[in-house]
Amino acid sequence: MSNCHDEADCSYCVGTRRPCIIEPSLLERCRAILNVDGVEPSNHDRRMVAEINLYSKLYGLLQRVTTRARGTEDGGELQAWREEWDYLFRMSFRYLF
Amino acid sequence: MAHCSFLREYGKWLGFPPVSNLLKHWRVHSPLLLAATCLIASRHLPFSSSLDPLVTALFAESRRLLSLSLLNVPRNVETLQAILILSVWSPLARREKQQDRPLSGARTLDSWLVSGYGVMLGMTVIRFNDLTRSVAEFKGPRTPVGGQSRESADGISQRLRVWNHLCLIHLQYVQLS
Repeated sequence: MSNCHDEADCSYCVGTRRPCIIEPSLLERCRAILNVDGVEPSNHDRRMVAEINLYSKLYGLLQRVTTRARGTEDGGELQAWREEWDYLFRMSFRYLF
Repeated sequence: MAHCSFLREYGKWLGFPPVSNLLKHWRVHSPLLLAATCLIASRHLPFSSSLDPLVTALFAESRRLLSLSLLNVPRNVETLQAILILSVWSPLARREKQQDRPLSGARTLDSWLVSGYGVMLGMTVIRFNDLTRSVAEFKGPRTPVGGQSRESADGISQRLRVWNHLCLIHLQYVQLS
């Protein structure tokens, strides 16, 4: 899937800047897959949640680009993201699939 | 052949259970999903003179069924899975000429629109009451996946995976398109 995404990203980047229709509260619910009783979330699922969170934060930051706080982030959101998901990037490759 | 190719290439990330009668189930319950799976699996079929007309026909049928699904009830997870597939179709579709832009051909869909529609549909398929409770209680879309009639933890995960993919793809198109 990651390959699909990467390929899709590269070939679809045309710069039309469209709005996101998903409420932030619904995006937070994407974490539910990490808490299903009796199921250990796979590395794939964790990375997907991490990626959703990253895009969500980036989208929020881009919405503020026109304000006085251009190019700055409130409260180190991206750093907080990095700290939360850093363990994923440290996992052995054998956990990837 | 397209069916086997699809399950091998996409089955895992779309969250399909290893059900032996999956093809038969789709034929009866979700022609849209069947058309979408064959369409995207066509990317992995060897090139031949008969492939192009087949892809054109599959695209036309997928588009027709997607249009019908706008007003159809009941909506189910199969519809969400089909929308998920169709929302990544256009960027991945084989171009006739290398210099062609991704959206210049006739066999394309607006991925932002399709994924956005999938998200809206997902919100109606997902149990809203559960959304107001804690994350741990959120069960995801109501309809079982792949014709399985019994609820299971794996089934819940698979449905949540479909929802997460829809969110992720929509967010990507929002920022990268």
